[in-house]
Amino acid sequence: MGSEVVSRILKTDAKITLLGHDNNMSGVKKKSNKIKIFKGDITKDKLNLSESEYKEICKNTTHIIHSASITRFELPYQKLKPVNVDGVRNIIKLASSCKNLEKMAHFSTVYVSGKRKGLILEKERAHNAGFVNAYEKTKYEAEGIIEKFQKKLPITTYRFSTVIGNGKSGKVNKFGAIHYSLRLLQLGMVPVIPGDPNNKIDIISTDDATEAFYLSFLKKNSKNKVYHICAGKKSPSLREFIGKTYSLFRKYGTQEGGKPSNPATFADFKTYELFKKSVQESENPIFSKIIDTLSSFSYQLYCPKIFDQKDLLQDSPESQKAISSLDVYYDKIIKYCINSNWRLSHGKN
Amino acid sequence: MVKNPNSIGISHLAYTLPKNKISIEGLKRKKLITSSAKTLKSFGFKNCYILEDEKIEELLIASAKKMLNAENKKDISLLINCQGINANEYPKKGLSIFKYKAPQLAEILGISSSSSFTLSEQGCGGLLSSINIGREHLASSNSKSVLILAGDCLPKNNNREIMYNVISDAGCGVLLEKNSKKNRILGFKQLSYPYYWDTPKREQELIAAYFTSSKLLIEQTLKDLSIKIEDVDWFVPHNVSKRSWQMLCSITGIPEKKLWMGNIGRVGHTISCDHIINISDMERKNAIKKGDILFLFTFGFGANWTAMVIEH
Repeated sequence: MGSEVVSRILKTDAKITLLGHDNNMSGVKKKSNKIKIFKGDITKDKLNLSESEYKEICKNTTHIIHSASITRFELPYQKLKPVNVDGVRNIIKLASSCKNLEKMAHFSTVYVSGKRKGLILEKERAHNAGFVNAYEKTKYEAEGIIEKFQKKLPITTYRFSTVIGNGKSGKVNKFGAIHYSLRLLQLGMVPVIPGDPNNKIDIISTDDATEAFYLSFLKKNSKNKVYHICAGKKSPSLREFIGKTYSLFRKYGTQEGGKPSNPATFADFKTYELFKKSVQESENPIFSKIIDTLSSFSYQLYCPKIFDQKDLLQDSPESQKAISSLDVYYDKIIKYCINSNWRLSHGKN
Repeated sequence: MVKNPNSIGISHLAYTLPKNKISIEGLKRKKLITSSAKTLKSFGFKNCYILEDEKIEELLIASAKKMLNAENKKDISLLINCQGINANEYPKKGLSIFKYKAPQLAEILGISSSSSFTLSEQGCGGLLSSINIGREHLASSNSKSVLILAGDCLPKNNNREIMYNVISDAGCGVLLEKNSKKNRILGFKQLSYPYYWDTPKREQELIAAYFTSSKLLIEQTLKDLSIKIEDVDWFVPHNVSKRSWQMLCSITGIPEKKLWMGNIGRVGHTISCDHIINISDMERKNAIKKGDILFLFTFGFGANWTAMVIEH
């Protein structure tokens, strides 16, 4: 999301200060002389910046967009906490020191709702339903920190659903669990698909998500709110999503020597757990890896839920309109993934 | 789905197991399985039968003798020898390359007027394919009966575990007759995917494809016969792991109580003989009655997913 947001802001007169965590920011800098980059670390006090750098940011910053996060679902809590939870505290400290701060956006996920089912309201956060993975838990805790400061600071939380790639170009900046799972489907290596095929699966494109966020962020009435940036009622069912996926595999994929392309069958929770148990007991190394990937989010597919967008619709109806349905962009995403061979050189294989 | 106008069915069936029975722990001690004994036991396996002093032909002949008499032998016009394992034990030298097992069996059994051949390369689907070939032969000729003998034994000291299943040696026989009083064949269906011919190379892909293709075959077979799961009295499995059957039942909606699973633990998987072992035992234990609909299902390397529906 970060690079898409930067590209969107560059279309305005705004100047951008980027906090980068490594030296690979030269590409970003080349984009525009409106960008100033500081190398820092949100897990450290004062973001690991020098006193003068920190002061400069505090003095000049009017808007903060906090999008830094580790989104790897398979990682344990302790690996995620420093960035996803402690990092928020350090950004809050920064925001509190910015005398001219008009607005701060905190990027979160609709899946702070964890294992909850049913209609999920934007106003709701606290629950005891538990979480599918540590990523959800850390983002939930991060929102808890944000909540405490919402009366003191102009913070708005944007909860995004699964962001799959750029809907116009099809480009995927970062291949994640969903892309790896789709690749396994294309390879015919998924024995059973976890999830209730009738449940909705909420997916959005990166550019739609960016535009929806940006349109809302400009609004004065969007302070101290929580918004769901997601497909909501436009979401397809898991069955529809898998059906579209296989039809695109047939359109763009080159199957090896008559390899069957029968869509994998769905498994209810009990059956999927039995499959997992069998893989664990058999110690099959290939299917153990496959299970690890699927299990990092699969339980979510058994938790039917719809993310309500009432507040977003009321405060920024343009944002909601900016979200396209899967039919509009999914073709390009799958085409890009297949043509780039799922960017194997950059990810897992 | 092919219909059965001549009431062709399995009038006689029999099987023979080797004398040597060994427990899963025994297999582990002899290093004949890869997984732990605990894992294979949790998958439902208990025993394994291994040929030691006997030959597979002896099991086939013993099975045939349980079915045949002077009267029904006369009507056999075709003998099909079925083996799932791609192996020929005869030395491949000189004229020995033309020594064949099917006519050898015909001669030993005294049915030397029949044609004979061996069907192989269908893996565990071979027996049901042989029955279907026999049925088509009877349907298109004046012949009255076909004898099918099937059996496999793994090479000596071969690993007894294939894809997390325990493999036993066994032999069996089927006498297929027109106007059979039982086991009338109602339908046969096979999904074949030549892509998987190279089994070692495609092993993991086959595991991945197993449930989807199995479900597809079961659904298509039922649809072709215009019957539902509720109309089937018994699903007769190939004796692969109970765990995989539990999953397949759940995915397809087959109630586990309709699945005859008793022989998974007692015998294990026998490549070609599972259905005959199961139906014989079901008959012996009076688990099936006349008119019951039996759905026979198997998967064979090669690869094929095969189903046959019979009316007992």
